[in-house]
Amino acid sequence: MGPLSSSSSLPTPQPTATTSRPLLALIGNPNTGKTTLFNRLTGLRAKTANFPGTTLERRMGSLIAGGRRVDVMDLPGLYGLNAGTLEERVARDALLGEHGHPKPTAAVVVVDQTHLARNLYLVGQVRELGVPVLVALNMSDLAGAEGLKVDTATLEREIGAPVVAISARTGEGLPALLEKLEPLLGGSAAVAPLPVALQGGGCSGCRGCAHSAARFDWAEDVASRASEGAPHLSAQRTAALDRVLTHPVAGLAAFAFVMAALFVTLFSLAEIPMDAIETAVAALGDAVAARLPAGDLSSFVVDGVIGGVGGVLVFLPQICLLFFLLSLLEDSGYLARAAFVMDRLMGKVGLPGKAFVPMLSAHACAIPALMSTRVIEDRRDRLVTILILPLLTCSARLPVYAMIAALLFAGQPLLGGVMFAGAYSLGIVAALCMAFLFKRTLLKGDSQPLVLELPTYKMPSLRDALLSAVDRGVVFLGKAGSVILLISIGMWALSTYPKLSDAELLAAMPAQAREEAAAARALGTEEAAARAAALEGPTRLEHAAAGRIGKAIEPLFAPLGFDWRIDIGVLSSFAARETLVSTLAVVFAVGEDEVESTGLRDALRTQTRPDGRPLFDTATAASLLVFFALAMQCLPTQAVTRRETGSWKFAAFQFFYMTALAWSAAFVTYQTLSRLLA
Amino acid sequence: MKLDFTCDLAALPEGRPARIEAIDARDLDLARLEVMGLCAGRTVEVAKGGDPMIVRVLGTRIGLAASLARAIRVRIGD
Ligand SMILES: Nc1nc2c(ncn2[C@@H]2O[C@H](COP(=O)(O)OP(=O)(O)OP(=O)(O)O)[C@@H](O)[C@H]2O)c(=O)[nH]1
Ligand SMILES: [Mg+2]
Repeated sequence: MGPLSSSSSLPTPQPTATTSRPLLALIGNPNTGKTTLFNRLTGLRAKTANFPGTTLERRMGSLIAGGRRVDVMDLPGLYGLNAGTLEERVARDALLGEHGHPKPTAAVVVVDQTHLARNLYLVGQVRELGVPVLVALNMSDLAGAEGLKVDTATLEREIGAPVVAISARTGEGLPALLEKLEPLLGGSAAVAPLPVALQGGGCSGCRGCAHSAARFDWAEDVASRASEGAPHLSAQRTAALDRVLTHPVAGLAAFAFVMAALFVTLFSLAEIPMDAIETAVAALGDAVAARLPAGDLSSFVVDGVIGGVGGVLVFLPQICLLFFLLSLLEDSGYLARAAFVMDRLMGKVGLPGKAFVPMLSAHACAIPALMSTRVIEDRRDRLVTILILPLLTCSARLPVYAMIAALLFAGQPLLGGVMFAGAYSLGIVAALCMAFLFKRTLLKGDSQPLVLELPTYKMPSLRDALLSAVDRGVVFLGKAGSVILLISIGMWALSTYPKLSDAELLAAMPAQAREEAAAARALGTEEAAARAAALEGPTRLEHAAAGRIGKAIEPLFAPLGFDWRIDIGVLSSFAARETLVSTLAVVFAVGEDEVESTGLRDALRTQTRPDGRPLFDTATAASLLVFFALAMQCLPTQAVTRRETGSWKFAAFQFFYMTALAWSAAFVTYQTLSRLLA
Repeated sequence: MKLDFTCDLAALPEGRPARIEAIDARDLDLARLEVMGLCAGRTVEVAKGGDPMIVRVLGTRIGLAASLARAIRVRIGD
């Protein structure tokens, strides 16, 4: 199974930055150690190149060979160049320098020598392309431990290209690799004639033809002549583990255990740095606020910029940790087994087993989950998974649920717990139903029947997991960070401008609030000034763009039992769900820092409608809960959906179907409950 | 006793090597099977039956939906 770095979408052609430098392409079957070798070769100079508007990430880096700087490109793993799948086509184009790709000077085919025959098939195909090639026989350490011997001289003769045995993990054989690589990088290396058995094909672009069988025959023949022994040890261990881990019953239990462990680790470990970051951001905000004169600039910097960047940073530990843990799981070879045992269950709603992993991580945050859908090869299956992921209960919904639980079931923790469980279940059931629906309508088609390599179990590499976590962290900060920052600034502006003049403000304020505010201001203390500002808040808000919009959309949400003040909260939460709580706090004129105290809850409970009924009756609170469980209210997620699908179309569709679903379900909830309870 | 008969891969007993004769599947599935080494001429073995099942080909274990295994005709010879 491919790593998270592979994907299945077309890349934007990347023009060569420095055409004079030789370019080396790393290619090979999945899991043969290309990325490990890449990281070894490029060392700390490795950087992740994340090309905008695409989902394909090619890692680019550079190394020094024979005193010359060489660019290195790490391609996604693939089994063949038959051009049957998008990924194969992309790798083929990259190797041949077609469709805007820079043409590589030479290719290194990374081969897992413990699975020589399988890997030689791709070697044969690359040879047929006529690119100068070097074969890196990786996993020497494993072969040595198994007593497996591969004769490089025989291989060199049969393949007609230099062959070097290496271990990307221990670094063994790398100097020899660089030495043999040097002559290929001049750009004028003569390519040896093709082995006879591979000639006469001339059709590596077609599939199902006889030439492919000839290529496999060649691969098996060469492998059997060049190697002695077989990897019995790891094969036995793998077979034994698989008897349990792929068992229809025990395998599911093991899967549930592994996933629960992942979940618990993710939540409990991420909690600590998340709290620390939150505290640090708040402290920074306070420090800046104390130094800047009160006013728009201070509000902009503290609420807009620091609050916005802080909002991103809080999610960072979860993202890094998730990718760290997934990388460990994937390295071990287990993830392929999880997909294997889930395949049949997921098949019932039309999704492949591989979709289960992203669905699980979506319970933390939809953004890393969206990125991890890259393990799903079929485009339709992947799109359906992307569309439904935000329905699962992410951690951003928790503050909202907590607020509603406090409204509905104050002092009844058991009922509150039942409400939480119900909200989680609502998300899961909705996601599965929508997947079922999409697979039968929009993205019709059977889920692809499983064909999945179950790699040999290995000890995961901590170093690679750390690199993956750092990589993802950087990508996340760069991409979602810029987006969330813009949104926070936008929301701040909308709820601040246009501003009322002091006279207009006084005229617009309700009489009681006006008197209280005037009295507070007269006191002259800082605390009283803050109290006065809080009292003026609702009126300022009502006349700022956000308030006007809230009033304007009131008819839209009235059937759900929301009034314009709730509407502002709902509207602001379309940027990020948690903002509902803080926005409502502002709307109901309670100081922001009292949100956690009983202040907000009491304030919410005592709010009334114009006709005197309580604003948050059971029906309204339940309707709000259902709405938040189902609505698409996370702009960063939308931005990532756009990036992962390559088009705004899917982000827009996701937004509209989820919001329509949320509205309808909340409508039914409100109308039913308000009649029942009347 | 000399054994020589064909059956589909899903019906092949565990641990008995057989040669793939022909595959009758959609183009896309054919391509996916082919790159994994599941194509005419290769020797396969069922490592673990069921749905999905595990087969061994070219020294690798492959998880395979039974629906696809039924589309693969194999010959058991000696
Ligand atoms: N024992 C051993 N393990 C290795 C060696 N090289 C890589 N590995 C491990 O093999 C697994 C796959 O390595 P990757 O570098 O991710 O392989 P890849 O070719 O980039 O895989 P894809 O990107 O999926 O195509 C990881 O668990 C590595 O730690 C090696 O020389 N010896
Ligand atoms: Mg890789």
